[in-house]
Amino acid sequence: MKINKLMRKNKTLIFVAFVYIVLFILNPEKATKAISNSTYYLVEMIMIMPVVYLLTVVLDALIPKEAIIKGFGSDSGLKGNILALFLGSISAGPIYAAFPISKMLLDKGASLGNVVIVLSSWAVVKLPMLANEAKFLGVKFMAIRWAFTVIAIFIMGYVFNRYLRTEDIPSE
Amino acid sequence: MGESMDIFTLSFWAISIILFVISITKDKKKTIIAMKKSKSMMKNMIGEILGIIFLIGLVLTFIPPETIKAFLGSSKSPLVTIISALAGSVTLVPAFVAFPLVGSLVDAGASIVPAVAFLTTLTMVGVVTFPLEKKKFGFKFALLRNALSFVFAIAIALVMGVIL
Repeated sequence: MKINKLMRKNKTLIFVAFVYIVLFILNPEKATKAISNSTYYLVEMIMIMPVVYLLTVVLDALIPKEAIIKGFGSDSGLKGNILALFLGSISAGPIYAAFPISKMLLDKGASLGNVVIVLSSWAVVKLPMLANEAKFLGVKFMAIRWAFTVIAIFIMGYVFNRYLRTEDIPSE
Repeated sequence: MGESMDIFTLSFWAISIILFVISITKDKKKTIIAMKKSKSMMKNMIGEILGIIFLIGLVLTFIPPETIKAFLGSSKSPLVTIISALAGSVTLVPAFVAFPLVGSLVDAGASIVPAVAFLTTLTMVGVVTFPLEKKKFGFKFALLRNALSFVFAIAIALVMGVIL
């Protein structure tokens, strides 16, 4: 029974492990390459997930629900959107690192629109990334793409508030 | 391809540790309960995240950045833009690889429309992270977010093609 549950919970991992086994048999060179390609992301995860863990703990224990509702709730308006954009932008790490924190915010009363703003800006708006983009593509290119992306993220927040309900989100 | 911890990740660590210390001194009991809760949440995710990481390695092996580069620069037909956006959705090339790659293309005179579409979906749309996103936020949320991001990426690319 327990193995069954474990397998259901790790479908992606099992699928990927299976592909690797087949690849190791058919083309060991490519399989080794794939493993070495994954190392960068593995290091990235090890560097970021402990921080995400600490932040979810702090968010849960230190910040009262009322504060989250006031800052990010459905009545927080444009100020809430900007706060969500700011929170997402100052963070580090890949998008999946934003999942636990966004989920925690949602559970504590943040609006769906603001959660999607946190998630999207977490993925897109990063200072080191913007600096890198300006370096290789120019400040103008970077600034214009950034401005349009922020507008797109805000529109998404609006759409999510309008067309999605909290009931659509599974609980843990 | 290993990258050491940059200053941003480092300050992210510092802030979290400080906040955590504040939390545990302010309310030890509440913090410990929260630690247990977060631990089980992380345990639920870690297998899927490992799956995602090794899946990225596979995708990068079969669709290497050089292949993407050759395609991005091939022409500026609408089909190329859409396929570039799809390539950005399924791959997860790190920013420090993606920007120089696209930068050298643009310098060589390639159209920026497919390039912008690729760069934007690269970060906003996640096909490999979709199962995890669906698990955490539900199918409707994950589908709506990824689909909207895809459409916006194309729109941004087209507008930037006109402006720049």
